[in-house]
Amino acid sequence: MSTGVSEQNLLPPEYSLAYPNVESGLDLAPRLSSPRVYHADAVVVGSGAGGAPVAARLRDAGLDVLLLEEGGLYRTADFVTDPLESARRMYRDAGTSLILGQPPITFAEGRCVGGSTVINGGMSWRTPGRVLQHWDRKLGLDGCDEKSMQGWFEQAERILTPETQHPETIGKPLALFADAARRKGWDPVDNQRNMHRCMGLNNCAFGCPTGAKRSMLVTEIPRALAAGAKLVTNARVDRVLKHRRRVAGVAGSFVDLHGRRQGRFEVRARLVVLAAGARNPPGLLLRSRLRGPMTGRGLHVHPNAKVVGLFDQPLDSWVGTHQAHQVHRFMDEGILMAAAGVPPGILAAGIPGLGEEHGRLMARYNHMLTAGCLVEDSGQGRVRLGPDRRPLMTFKLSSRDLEVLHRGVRLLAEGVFEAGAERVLLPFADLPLLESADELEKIDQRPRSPQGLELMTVHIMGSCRMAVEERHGPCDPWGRVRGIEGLAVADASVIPSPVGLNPMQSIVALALRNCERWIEGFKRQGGNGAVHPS
Amino acid sequence: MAAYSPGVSWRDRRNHGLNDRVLLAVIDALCPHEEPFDFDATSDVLGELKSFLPFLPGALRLGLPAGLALLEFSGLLLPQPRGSGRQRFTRADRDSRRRTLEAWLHGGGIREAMVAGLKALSLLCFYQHPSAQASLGIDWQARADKLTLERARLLAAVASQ
Repeated sequence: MSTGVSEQNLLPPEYSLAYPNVESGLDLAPRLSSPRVYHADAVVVGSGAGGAPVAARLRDAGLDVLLLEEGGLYRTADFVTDPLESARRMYRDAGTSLILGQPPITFAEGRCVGGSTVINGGMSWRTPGRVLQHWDRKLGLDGCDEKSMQGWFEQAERILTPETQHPETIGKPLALFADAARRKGWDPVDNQRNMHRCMGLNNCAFGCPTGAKRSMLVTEIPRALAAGAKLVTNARVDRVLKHRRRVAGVAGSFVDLHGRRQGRFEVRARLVVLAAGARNPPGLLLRSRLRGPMTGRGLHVHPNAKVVGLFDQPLDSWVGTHQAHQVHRFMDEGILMAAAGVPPGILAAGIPGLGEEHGRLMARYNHMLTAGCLVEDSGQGRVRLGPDRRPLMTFKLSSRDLEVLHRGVRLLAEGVFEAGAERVLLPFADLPLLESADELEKIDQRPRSPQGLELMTVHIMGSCRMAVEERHGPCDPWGRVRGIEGLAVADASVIPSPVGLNPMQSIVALALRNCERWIEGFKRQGGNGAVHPS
Repeated sequence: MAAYSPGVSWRDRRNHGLNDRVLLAVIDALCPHEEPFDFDATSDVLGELKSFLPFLPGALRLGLPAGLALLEFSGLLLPQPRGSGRQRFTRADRDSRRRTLEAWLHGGGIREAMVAGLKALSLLCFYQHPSAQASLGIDWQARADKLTLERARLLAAVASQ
């Protein structure tokens, strides 16, 4: 294709985005003999789906805003296709986090400027109507009904700009699964993802080097910085500072890639917004002795199980986008299904066997179709402080969760056989393989035991939930932490119950909704003026 | 059958501490060695795997050496799977080591968690190794370069209209 534009050094526009007003804690740390002190009207802790839009809105409202991020700043030009390098740079614990329980659940979240929006699949869906109805009618959260939230979702979509996938970039495995779902009457829907002209590279989980993903790194963060907000990277907040019943700022450490402390800082601010993902705000509150009866309780994890279909014909499984369709047909049962492109190294952990047995299966990687189900869980988890004073997550599957997971795996296996698989690998150690669709009943017959069940998640929520009464959640219905003035939460922690699908847009919309209240409150109380921590 | 992959010499073995020697033996047992994965990546995988260890959550990071030591001496201390003799893990042949790891992997508790974690990390490092990627016909970086240019062209064309 000739465009009439010189192709020398031709790069997508995201490569030339400017990031002014950024300071790296690692550059500062060696020059510090005492803690560095910042002053701001508002400090936002975390730069992901909640933190970045809040920082931009606060700046729009005229506040002096400081955005803190524990990870580093990696621009579009820095993204690589090596999952190992990407995980070390951009994932918390380099992707080795676990939610403890039976079974342990592997969990991944971003730790970089842009947070998990940089490394997620980009699925961008409004909170389902029945979930909003539950928040409004059962939980009594005013302003959370579908009509009231409409405007916030529209604003979130102006940031996320969800698009559907161009058919030529979908890839064979995903297309086969969608066709099979149609034949089964499951009405797969085109996936809405925050992207602009996605080319189907499927590097979403490691940063998008094509620039197509509209993560916070390329949207709200450069917008906030251009408007005058300041960003400090490699800055981990250790505790919230307070004076009597009012927040006074935060204190923390400049940290390297491994999380090792290199120096200290303090921020004096009248408004503190915690937006560091659902594991971290409860940890911060607990460490800061701001414990309420529900702080850290009520964690939900959307456990995911996957199946892998083995096909006779090659599918070129590494070619094509990350996710193109979802099956919403069973969401009322708590099941969301999708086929996904998964790199071989990531897929390998869930393939049964060791050594040659494992290798013989993996040699057929390009004949594999991977599909997963997400379960809207009813079990309860908790974030507490571990022996190292870092947040530790636990989760116990309910008997309903186990039933729904088995139903989800059964549906996935049906779909994958329908797509033409010869054999299907299952996430059960005691039932690793179905040789044909005739064996599907073995899933129904499996005891509903959590033992030997392989689960993962990238969605956790509800650990500092919004609630009308303190006995149901530490945050009020506008995300403000009870018992201390000027402290709020703007990430998945505040989500009052599991949303049953990808929560990114729910996080953005709730953050925007609540932020408006915080701005009103800030201005009503006279705006600027330092509070000295006690 | 050799206790180690051919690429790891006795000198290498002497130069590695206990943790490394156990990890090498674990990697050698977990990873495949036959066609199309008939290349030696054990030392490379060890290097990559070790680069992840400083990132592990505190309790895991501190507990791993103890877990590896238990694995090394479990053959002498604990009942073994059928067919495995009473010997140190690193001195057992590959099949015996696989049987031990399988037993731990399905044994529940902390031992299961440790071997599941080591399996995930070892296989991630192995299958992302350039030789494994080449064996599978994958060149993700070349595709990224191509698609990045194509997207740049597409957006430039739209902008020039």
